[in-house]
Amino acid sequence: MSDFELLVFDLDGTLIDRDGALLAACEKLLGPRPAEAQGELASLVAASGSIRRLAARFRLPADQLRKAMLEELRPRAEVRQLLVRLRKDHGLVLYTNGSAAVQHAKIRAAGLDGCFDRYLVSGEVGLRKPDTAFLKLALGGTPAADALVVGDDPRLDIAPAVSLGAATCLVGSAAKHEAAQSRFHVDDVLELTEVLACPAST
Amino acid sequence: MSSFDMNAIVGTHDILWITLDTLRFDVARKALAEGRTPNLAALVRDGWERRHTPGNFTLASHAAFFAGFLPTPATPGPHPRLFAAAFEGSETTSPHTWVYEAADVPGGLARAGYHTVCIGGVGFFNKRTPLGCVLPGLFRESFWEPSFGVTGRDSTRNQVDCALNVIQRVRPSLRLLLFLNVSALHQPNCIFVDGQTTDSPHTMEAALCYVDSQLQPLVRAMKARAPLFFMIMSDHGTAYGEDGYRGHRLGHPVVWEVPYAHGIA
Repeated sequence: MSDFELLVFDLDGTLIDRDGALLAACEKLLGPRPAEAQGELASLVAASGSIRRLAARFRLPADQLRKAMLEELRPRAEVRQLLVRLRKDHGLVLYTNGSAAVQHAKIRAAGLDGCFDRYLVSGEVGLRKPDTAFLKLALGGTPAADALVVGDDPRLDIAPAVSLGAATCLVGSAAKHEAAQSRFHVDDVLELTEVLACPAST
Repeated sequence: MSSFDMNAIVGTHDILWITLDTLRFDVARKALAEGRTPNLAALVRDGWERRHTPGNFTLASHAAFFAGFLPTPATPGPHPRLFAAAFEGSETTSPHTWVYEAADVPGGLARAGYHTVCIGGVGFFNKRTPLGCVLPGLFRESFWEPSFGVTGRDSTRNQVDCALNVIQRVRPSLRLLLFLNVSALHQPNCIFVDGQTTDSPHTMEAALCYVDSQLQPLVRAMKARAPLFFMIMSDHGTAYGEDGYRGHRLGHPVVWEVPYAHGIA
């Protein structure tokens, strides 16, 4: 196992399939659509950024879309098992942008409560990614060089970590679309154990 | 070129994959014949094989390489491939080809338990732009620094230092794919000859001699780690005025004929 002292995780798109749940919620609320419209809907969800913006696009109440999205979030037992295993050797911190109520609801819906030593939600602490002050808060007293930051967003997750000198692992396909100076890259967070076969020092 | 059963190689050997970016076949052959690249000669025991590259510039060539389409022998084929994605109807997949269920060789080797590492050189590996992330993004771990790039007089040494660090720290029980794109041969390679301001076969050869002088610690460290299978190739050549052509991304023998070697180190 690696000598990273602390692993800092993003939530949406990294540990949970937020866009997948949002797409399923849209499909449920909007009703049956022609097959050719499905791809367009998926693109709209991926590009929407916020639930509020997507709800406005479809003239849906944002609260209704948010509730439906939470209902569609499916816990991945393998992710929880991964975190339980990792916690034996590393400190674990979750840090995420969003309102406290919604992000904690997602954490519960995904079965990720109790998996981390600390949970930091931007709506609670008054700092947001990509502000490095938020990441410093997540690091606590751990030197950045001893931490691995795991996230799916090159701008929000990877860039602040690189600037502080932390190691980074980009999750998913963003590397194919955006500049990301991440040292590690995995398609799925479950592959993280393979990354952790390497020690922290570069 | 010796043929290998890659099904007996993958899983038991580490793999060192070096692309000598932009190296022309004639320059590589001349330097080897004159004894100016002794460290490469220790690997390339049968001499450089003349092959045809699937692309005429870095992005195209490496996209093909990483999909399992390495330079092909410059003789009529078909020529079996070392690696191939499972692909119905492939005529170059032989019983000795290692077939993977993935989109690319690094992804297939990662699924087979390899730690896959990319040490970039030229701009298509620089991770500074979305396009510069595409090729490194195929690997589990990737590195690029400005000092690895085409204008660095010590680029190969810096790349090798980075590689040695990787080799030292990856668990010995984990198989390793180490890919290195050597940038020193790409223009401007005149920086390797004092007083020269334009590139030529002569300055490319000087750059190749510099690269050769830096590779020994890398090969030694890889061999110390595990049984080693190596692949060394150029991705394309470049024209220095032949038939009026300059540069690459064009169709001319000095561009599509590249040096190639593979084997057990």
